[in-house]
Amino acid sequence: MFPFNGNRTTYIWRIGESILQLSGLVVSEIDQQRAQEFCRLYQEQKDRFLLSGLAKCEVSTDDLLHLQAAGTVLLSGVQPTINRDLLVAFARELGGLLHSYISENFHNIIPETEVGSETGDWLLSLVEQTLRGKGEYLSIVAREIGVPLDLLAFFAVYLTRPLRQAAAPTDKSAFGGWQLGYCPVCGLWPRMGRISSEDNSRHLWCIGCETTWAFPRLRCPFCLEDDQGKLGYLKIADTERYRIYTCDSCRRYLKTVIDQGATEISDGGFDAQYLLTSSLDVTAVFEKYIQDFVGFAAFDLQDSAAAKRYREKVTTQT
Amino acid sequence: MKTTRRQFFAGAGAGLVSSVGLFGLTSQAVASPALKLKTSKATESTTICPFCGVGCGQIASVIDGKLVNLEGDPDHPINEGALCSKGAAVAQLHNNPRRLDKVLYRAPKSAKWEEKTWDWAIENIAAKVKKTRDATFRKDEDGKTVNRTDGIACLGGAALDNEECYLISKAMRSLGIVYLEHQARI
Repeated sequence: MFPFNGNRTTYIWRIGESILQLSGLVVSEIDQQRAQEFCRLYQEQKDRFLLSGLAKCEVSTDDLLHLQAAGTVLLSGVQPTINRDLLVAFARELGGLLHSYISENFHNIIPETEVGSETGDWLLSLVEQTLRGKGEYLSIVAREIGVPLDLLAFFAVYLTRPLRQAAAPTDKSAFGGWQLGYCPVCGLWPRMGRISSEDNSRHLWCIGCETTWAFPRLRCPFCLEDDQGKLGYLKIADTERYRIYTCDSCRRYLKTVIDQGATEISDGGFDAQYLLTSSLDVTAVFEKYIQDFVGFAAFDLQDSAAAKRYREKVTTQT
Repeated sequence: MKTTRRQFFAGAGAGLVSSVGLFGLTSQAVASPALKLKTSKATESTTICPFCGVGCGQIASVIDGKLVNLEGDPDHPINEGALCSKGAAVAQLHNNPRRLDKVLYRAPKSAKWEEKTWDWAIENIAAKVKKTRDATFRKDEDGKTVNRTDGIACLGGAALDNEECYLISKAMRSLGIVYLEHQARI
């Protein structure tokens, strides 16, 4: 059993250590053009399937306000209706796209054979558990099939992104009152931050649904630490473009891009920036900072004691 | 033909692909110290711009005691991240080759500056303040208790921050100084 129900921080620390043990091998950099190309192709696929009716979800303004007031993420209260056939077709196209950009490990994730009912069953199960942020399920499946967990989680997150986006409000100001560090739509921790060089405000980005929301500069989104002595960033030599924000309370880090303009990120959007900055992850890990696997929800259950304690911290601080 | 989930992955190798490598979307992706970037650990602290009475919030980034960046605090209710041209240049108060970092003294009628120690300066200032205050202090005036001295004035400077101004005003009021001013007027 994947020991994620135990001491989560301890386990994440061990993940960091295991990555450190991989030293001696080499990550090859990809260029910006390649990352942007991948993001563009993925975006096209996703939008095409979404427009075809891959997923539908009705969320009323009242639902939204109620969930926000409770600090509960949107997808804990509503679930999109998924078109099974389109999901399988999207998964196959996504598998092919990832295979061409990532590694040989992915070429069999979706079979070339005719789509059978089990394919749909498995994908629906994967989607359902991923939408709930059930990292434990992903880890069991990854171990059973011999695929690295992060690889499977990456696939699952990109597979479920249009489903999450179907539930997300199109109005970007809908989450103006959200003060928590995890995504208001799907409950994942942010994977990237952006500081606007125009007004110095910080926005966090969710890889699960591409939602962005404003968050205070001097507060850790992961543990809500606001002691300035414990917060800071790793300044990268020779560039002002990126920072790695760190918290010495929970040892988490957040890659952050310093960007021109007030709203939209430049150079290919968050996705491309996120994929391009693998060296920042390496650097953070070597400095003994950690991050959850992609696709793991901040809290397994929104009404768990840990989630409530986290939300209570915000109430106390404000 | 039905395909089981296990069969889906039958050909999927257990190659070494770390979290780090995956982000890079590479086929031979694994971590290396060689990719670690050179970094410096910076701390961020909030402070208040000293230049005028508006009191704009700022975030100061410090590495090894050296100010490396200063920007408007976006979460400060007054300026919401914005700074005027003077506020944006506050870092130059700290990082400035013309900034005095030792005591210079010019004696009455002298044309040259002499370098002195802080101890010497503090003792001399204290002695002069005491002498002047003792000579000019008034306890009563027109039958009213005033407890003040007109013999000393204090002028604050724009490079003083909020906390320094507070301490100076408290210290001067405790001496009975009423000519207490600051140049923070724009």
